[in-house]
This record gives sequence, C-alpha cells and structure tokens, in this order.
Amino acid sequence: MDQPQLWVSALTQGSFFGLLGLAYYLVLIGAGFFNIAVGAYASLAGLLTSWLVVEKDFSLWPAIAIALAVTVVVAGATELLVVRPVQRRGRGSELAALVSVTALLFVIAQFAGFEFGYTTLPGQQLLDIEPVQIGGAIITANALIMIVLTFAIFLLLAMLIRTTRAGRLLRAVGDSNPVANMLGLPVHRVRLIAFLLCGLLAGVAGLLFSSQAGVSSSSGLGWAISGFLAVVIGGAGNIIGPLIGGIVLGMLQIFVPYYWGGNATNIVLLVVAAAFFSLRPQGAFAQRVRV
Amino acid sequence: MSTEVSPEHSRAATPGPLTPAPAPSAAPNPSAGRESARRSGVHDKGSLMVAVVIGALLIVWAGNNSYRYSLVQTAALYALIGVGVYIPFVMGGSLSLAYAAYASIGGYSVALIASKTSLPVWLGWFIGAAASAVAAVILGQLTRRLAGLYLACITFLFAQAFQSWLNSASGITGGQSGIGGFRATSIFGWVPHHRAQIVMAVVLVIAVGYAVDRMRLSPWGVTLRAMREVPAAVEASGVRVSMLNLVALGFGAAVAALGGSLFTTVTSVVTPGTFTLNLVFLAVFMALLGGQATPWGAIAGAVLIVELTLNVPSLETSGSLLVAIVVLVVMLVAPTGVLGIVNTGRRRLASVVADRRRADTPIDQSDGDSLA
Amino acid sequence: MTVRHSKSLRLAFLATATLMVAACGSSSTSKTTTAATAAATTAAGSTAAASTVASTAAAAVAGGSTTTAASAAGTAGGTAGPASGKPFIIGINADTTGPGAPYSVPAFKTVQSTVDLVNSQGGVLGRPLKLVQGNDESDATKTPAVLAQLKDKGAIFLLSQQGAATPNALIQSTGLPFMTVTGVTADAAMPPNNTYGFVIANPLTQWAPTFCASFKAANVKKVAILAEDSATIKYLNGVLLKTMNNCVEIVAQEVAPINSSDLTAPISRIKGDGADAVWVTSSGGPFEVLAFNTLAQLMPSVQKFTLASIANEPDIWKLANKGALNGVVGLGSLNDANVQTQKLREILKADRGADFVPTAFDAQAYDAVMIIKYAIEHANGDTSPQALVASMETMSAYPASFGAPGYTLSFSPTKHTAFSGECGIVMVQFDQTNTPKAWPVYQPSC
Repeated sequence: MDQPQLWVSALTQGSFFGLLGLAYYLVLIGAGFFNIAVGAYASLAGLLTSWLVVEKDFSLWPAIAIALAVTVVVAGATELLVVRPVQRRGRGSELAALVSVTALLFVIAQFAGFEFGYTTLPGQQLLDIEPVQIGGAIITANALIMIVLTFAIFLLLAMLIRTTRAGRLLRAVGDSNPVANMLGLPVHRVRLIAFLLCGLLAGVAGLLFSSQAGVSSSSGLGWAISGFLAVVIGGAGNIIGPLIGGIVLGMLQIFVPYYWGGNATNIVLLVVAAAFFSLRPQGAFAQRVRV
Repeated sequence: MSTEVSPEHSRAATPGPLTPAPAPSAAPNPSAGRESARRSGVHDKGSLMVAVVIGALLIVWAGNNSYRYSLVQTAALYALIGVGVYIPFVMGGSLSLAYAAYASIGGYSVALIASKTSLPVWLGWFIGAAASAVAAVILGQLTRRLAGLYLACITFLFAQAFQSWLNSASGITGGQSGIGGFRATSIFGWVPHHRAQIVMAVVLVIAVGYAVDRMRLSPWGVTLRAMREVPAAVEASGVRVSMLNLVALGFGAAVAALGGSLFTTVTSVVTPGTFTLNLVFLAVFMALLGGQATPWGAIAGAVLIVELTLNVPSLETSGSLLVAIVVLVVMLVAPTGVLGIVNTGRRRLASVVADRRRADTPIDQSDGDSLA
Repeated sequence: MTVRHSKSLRLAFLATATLMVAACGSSSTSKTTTAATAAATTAAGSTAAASTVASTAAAAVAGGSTTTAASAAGTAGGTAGPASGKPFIIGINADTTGPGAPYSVPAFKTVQSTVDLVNSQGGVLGRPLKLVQGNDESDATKTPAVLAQLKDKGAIFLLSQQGAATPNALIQSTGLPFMTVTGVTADAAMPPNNTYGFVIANPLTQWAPTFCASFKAANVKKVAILAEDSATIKYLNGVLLKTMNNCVEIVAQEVAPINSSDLTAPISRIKGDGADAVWVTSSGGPFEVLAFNTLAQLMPSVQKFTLASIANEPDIWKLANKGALNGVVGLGSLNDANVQTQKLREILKADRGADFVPTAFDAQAYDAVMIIKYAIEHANGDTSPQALVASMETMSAYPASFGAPGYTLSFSPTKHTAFSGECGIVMVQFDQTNTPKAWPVYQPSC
C-alpha cells in the first residue's frame, strides 16, 4: 500500500461510488427504498453529455447543462410518475417500488442505446489541462475534480441536513412518511426534492467518471450495484456512511487485485457483501434511534 | 442450528404493523385468504380450461411451420422460468436473481446425461430439477435473513460466479463452447420430434401452471402469501417462516430447471451464456406483465414477451426497449396485469348477465365451487 | 372523482399498448399494406443509423414469403438497378441491439451496402439479392427462433454477425448454408458433424504462429499478459497459450473484469515482472483502450501488443488518450497494397463519405456477400441447400479484400474455413494519431 498511484485510483473510484451511494442515501431516507435507477441516471448524464459533444458538435458546458437538466427531470419523473403511484397502491411495499424502478432502469438503458448508439463514447474532460503529478502519482483533472467535489458535497450536505429546516424535514419525513403526513409536514415536496438531488448527484458523478473508461448505455446496472454496495458497507445511519462505504469499496477494487490478482476480486467482493448483508445489514454506521 | 429465526430481521425490509393492512389477493389468515381468492374470481379449473384451449390453439397455429415451433418452444421456456420466479417472488416476496443458474443446471444435467452416460436422457430432467432445488435451498438458507435489494444483489453475484465457474470448469462443462450435438431424448425407444415436442412442452407448461395454481390456493400457499404480508403473524401462529421460504425457493428453482432442460433437449446444445441475467429480468417482468394474481399471469406474460421480442418484425432494432416500456406502462396503469384486465372485464360482464338473470330467479352469487 | 379519472387514464394507456401489440402482431402474419406502413412509420421516428435497418424490415413485411419486385427495390434503398425478378433472400442474424451491438453494427451495415451494390450492378443471374434481418440481442435463448424466422422468411443462405459464436448444433438444425461473417471461432466450420457452417475470417488456430513470429521479430522473449475476464477471451487465450508457451516466456497473466474502470492494479503488478512486452488480450472496446491508456502512463517504454479487435474498431480509437495507442502491434488484416482492399475502400467511401475508415470487418462483410453471389451463380440458380453447399465447396482462389496482396479464399468439401495461408493476416501497428498502419517489422507470408 505504499504506491501513491494505487491510492489515487482507490480514491477516484471511492469518490464515484460514494457519490452514487449518497444519491441512494437521499432517496432511502426520504422515501424508504433503494432507488436502483441511480445507475441509469449516472450513465444517462455521461452518455448524453458525450453524445451532444461528439455527435452533435455542442460545446462542453451547454452539453453538461442539458444532460444534467434531463437527468434531474428523469429523477423527478421517477418519483412523480413511478414510485409515488406504486407506493400508494402497495402501501409502502419495498418490493413493488424496487421492481418498478428496475423496469425504469431498463427503459432508460434501452432507450439510451436506441437513441445514442450502443458503442462506448469517450467521457469529456472538464478542464483542458494535462494530468498533474502529485508525489509520484499522476492524477487527471476529472479525477481531481471528482475527489475534491465529492468531499465538498458530502460536507455541505451533512451541514445542510443537520442545521437547516429542510434537512430536519428530510429526516423527519424519512423516519415515517405516514406520521410526517399526519403532522402536516410537506411529505410530497420533501420527497421530490430528495429525488431531484439524487438525480443531480448521480448525474454529476456519471459525467465526471465517464472520462475514466468511457460510458455506454449498458454502464448503468454495474454502477447501480456499486453504489448500492457502498451504502450497504457504509450504512445509512449517517450521511458520511456512503462516503466511507464508497472508499472502502474503491480500496477493495484496487488493492485486492493488486495483492491477490484479478480472480480474487469477485470472490472477495461476494464475501464482503455476504458478510455485511448477513452480519451487519445496517452497515458500518447504524441508524440510531433519535429521541 | 438453523432453527433460530428472528422475525424482525428475517423480513427487515417490510416492517409492517401487526394489524395487517387489507390485501387484495393475500390475507393474513389462511381461511380468509382462501375465501378472498375464491371471491376474486379465480377459478382454478376455469383457468385450466382456458389454458388448455389456448395451448391447443397454439399447437394448431404452429401447424407444420418450424419458425412457429421455435416460438412456442421459446415461450414454453420463458413460461417455465417465469413461473419459477413467480413462486418465491410473487407468492413469497423474495426477489432472487439466481434463476439463470437454475436453468443452466437443468440444461447441463440433460446435456451431461446425454453426452457422458448411456442413461436415458429424460433422467436429466429429474436430476436437474432436484439439483436446482438443492442449490436454491442451500443458497436460500445462507441468505435467509435477507430481503429486497439485498437478496437480489447477493443472488445476482452468485449467478455471476456460477456462470464464471461454468466457463472455467471445461473438463465437466465443455468451457465456453458448452456441450452440443448430443443424442436426442428417447422415451423407451420413442424419439419425439417437432410436433410431439411442442405438444409435450405445452402440456408441461399447463401442468406446471395448474399445479402451482392449486398450491397457491392450498393452505400452504395461503400461508406463504400471508408470510409475504405479515411474517410476524405467521411466525406467531407457529409456522416457521424460513422453512416456508426455502420450500418456495426450491420449488421455483426446480420449475426453472425444467425450462432449462426443455430448451436444451430441443436445441441439443447448452453453453454458459445460454441463460443470461437478461432472461431473469424478463422472467420477473413476465409476472408483472401478465398479472400477479395467479401463475397463469406469468405464463401469459411469457407469451407476450416472446411476441414482443421475436415476432414484431417492424421493431427488430428495439425488442427489449418495447418490452421494458410495455412492462413499465402495465405496472403503472394496470397493476393487475393483462389477465387482471381480462378478469375484471369478464366479471363485469358476468355481473351484468347475473343482474338480468336475478330479475327472474334470485341465485347465489359466489363464483363456482372448484375447491369443494 | 379522481378514481374515475385515473381509471379512464389507465384504460387509455392500456388501449394504446394493446393496439401497439395488435398492430405489430398482425403485421407478422398478414401482408396488408397498412401493417407495412405502420412498420415503416414506426421506424421513421428512429435515428438515421437505424433507418436502413428499418427499411429492410419494412420490405420484409411487405414481401412476406411471396416477394415482389417492388419490395426488392425497397431493400436496395430505392436504387433503380437493372436486377429484377424474384429475389434471392439472404437472412442475417445481426445484433443491432444488445451487448453485441458495438461489434455487429459496422459489419452489418457493410453487408447491406454490398447487397445494394450487387443489385445496382445487375444482381445475381439478373435477379436481385434481398437481405432480411433477425436480431437475437445476444440472448442465446432467442437464437433458435431467430434462425427459424429467417428461414421462414424464405432465406436460402444465413449469415451470422454476432457477439458470440452460434453453436454448431444450431447451425446444423437450420439445414441452410450458414456463414459467420467476422467470427474467428472455427469450431462452427470444423468436421465432424459439420455440413452447413462456413467461416471467412482468419481462424484462431492460425494466430499463434503469427504472434510467435512477431515476438521473435521484435526481439521479445518475456511477455506479460493482461486479459479481460470474459468467456470469449478465456477460450481464445486457452487456445493461443498452448502454442505460445513454446516460443516465449509468459512471465505474468493478469485478468481484470471486462467492465473495469481502472486497471492501475493489474498493470502495477505487471510492472515488476520484467516483461519485454505487455500483451493485452481482450475483445476490444473500452477495456482495451483503458489498458493502453494506463500502460502509456505507467509503463511508457514497454513494447505493447494486442490481439485483433481494436484494429477493427475506429469508433473506439477515439476513446484513447492522445498517442496512447502509439506503437501497439496486433492483427489487423487490412493492407493497402492489396488491390482488392483499395477497391473496397473506394466503394465504401462512395457509400459512406470520404471520412469513412474501412476495417477487416468491412472487408469480411463485403466478401461474405460476394461469396454468396458466387455460390448462387455457380449453382446456376439452384437454391437448394445441397446445391449451394456443393457450389461453395468448389470455390477456390477468390481474391479476398483483406490480407496481403494476392491473398485468396477457398473452400473444399473437407475445409469450410476460407483461410488459405498465413498472409491472410496482416500485422498492424498504431501510429501517433492512434491509427493502425501495416507493421514494418514483420509480415506473415504465404
């Protein structure tokens, strides 16, 4: 673990997983289920940005604005058109909401392939600067932006959730939708905001990360699972949980193949997931009862 | 060892209140469940008759055309995997994604028996079903405390690991090229060909559909469905939730393995990539598309999906897109699925007719007495 | 009130869905003009790339089993060629959607262009070719139905352009001559039990000697392998390494998931193994580019080799960092000195625009159609499977549009792979601009 380059990779991966985890986390506390469409939002934002730039000759920043706007709208539509009606009908059954967003993930992935093509598109560099060298490790502009941004976003959201009225509302609504409703809290609005933020975070994560290895319409499912694992490992008890989980997952994905070879990664991942799932399903940072 | 069950963990994802919410198709207490199932207009004999008629029509439609044979065979495979997923998913509320592995077990056991032994090939069907059931029970036991996305994720990882094992264990499985071109199935010297094959496939699907439908209405099935809604209540009444769940998982896996055996028998080839994760997602969608009330919904969904992905010539570029959109639309606007719509329409019609008849002679309104 | 509203909404949605299904379903069995129009309009909304596919599909609907000259013209994209009469139907299983799409679409487009070209130049025996497409979306459970569908539409010859090889048992069950366009797994065309399968591309068995000679020419003695963890590559590496172990020392074998987004770890491992060259074995695509991007960063001075795929994926070259592919050597199979290759380049540039970069995939797609043309002509229009297979088996010295100048393809009753000598393989090397050129150091000869 003395190679700085490996640490750069682990941190880059970890930040991406952490951001996706945070996107999950917001919906999890707001609406009480895992929004697996997070992976689809991330790949949609990345793919749409690249497609606009590569195929439609847009300049970068308008393309990013359009892609993020579309992603946020899709995330809002997930709540308004899919999750809310399904949950209302199923009286909060987790499975119904899960399956319907899985269907949505498929629709987005298939539609993106149909519309933007099935080949992998190159991710866009946000800043046109050469990779920087920090203490023997090379780091690209996008990776640097992602790491810094991830930590900034986590700090900011942690503060907002703790100190602002909106944050307290989110936690209150998340504890129990029906009770919050009874108390006259704006449950619908809070949930919608959680979904919109979720789409924005996943979109930012996707378009920053797609410059690592490109982005295609089929990237979404794998990313969705990585983000989920980040939440499971870190736990949903604390907003920092997904970040810790993401970085642990990033380190696993880099250091396990480095020390034990590529064949070990899947097995270690399965074992770690199984261990967390069965021994500590609440994650490293468990939710404590608030009085 | 395994007897210890903590109900608040076993179904952690659905912390329902102890007083159950009224459920449309599954009620917390067995007798009420049976009652409501009967009231919801599900006659198992009636459905069976409709299924037999549709099956016969499909066989007639297929005629002598080998393309239509293929469509019916593919629909039969999809239907079996769909029903396999239906049992634990819709009835028990566990979303397992390991079904590609179970279908592969069914397929490989036929292929191995046919290529490496001189035993009768049909034996592979039974061995495959049994082996799949055992695998599912073991996996179910290991994951008994998980539900929702946790269970889906771990079974997904398992299916991936299994596929990668099929690829690398080339001594047994033939590696990436799989096993192909083995001898045909013969039943005591008789080798069924095209027409006989699809008749058998259709009969198998209908038999499985009927058996699962009966199970669903049996006390066991009602308890299982009650477990999905309120595990604590079922546990409290002395039934072991984990045991019920394991039986459902094992049974579902065995049905999916039959699908794998059927496909492998017909095509006489199986490879690690034959049964994909994509197929499993399709199987989950089948029940949603056709209707979750009965296993016939999963079967209807299978037929619809084959139609949408294979027989829609104008949309060769986007079969999967069409399926995904239709599934989402059906989930949102018609949660009871296609069969649910048909049933509602039929019941409305029946009540109109009955209203007219009642004007003459007042009769009891309950739907048939198929369970008596 | 609200309840009623949502119910009517549901009904409306459902009615639309049902109509959609009904319209599409009926078009498969009936041959009414309305169905064909519906098909055409549905397709019209799609992207430009998909519309060529759709026009084929629409024509297939209009034609059904008894085809008309009008529908043949539809297939040819409206080209008013001199070919007329009842068309010869070629079925192609091409994954234009699904995971195999990135590999299948380019060759499929060239098959279409070549069919159009043949038709505009008088067709085959004066009659047009007609292409009907099936698509199993790389889902093996759909393959039997798709192949049966193509046969049902009247195909006399089947082509396969897919992510994964079609198992031999399925090929034989179609009972039609069956040619794999760009696939390199020769299993499907090998005896015993093979009557119908044919392969055009240089089969995998020929790769090992070429790589051995290449390593020798480049003075490489120790090779480190970075492989993608996929069924295809596991199989390819298994076949290759059996031979390769005799000519070079394999000092490291690393695998990484096919959808990796970071290869720093395996390449850092390789770094300490003292290899003269790193050989990336993958099915191309983003994995390959990521590997060379990372290698350029971490091991800039090591010699770099690849298998074959990336040389055929111009779309993917754009993914590589500036100069990251510089110096990478692999199988390419296109050599500009070959006059047939030059001809193909002109044809495709006229068809797709001056910027188009043809690859071996295009060459093999073009040759596939031309070989079918040959087979029909030499069977004197007898389209029975036996006559076509026999006609194929007489083909010899067909000038290939890939390989070294003068490279030819041939089949015989005992040999269903078109390969005729090692010069079918051209070694290429990427330059500063991430574009492959013939490798000056070593070229296989026949």
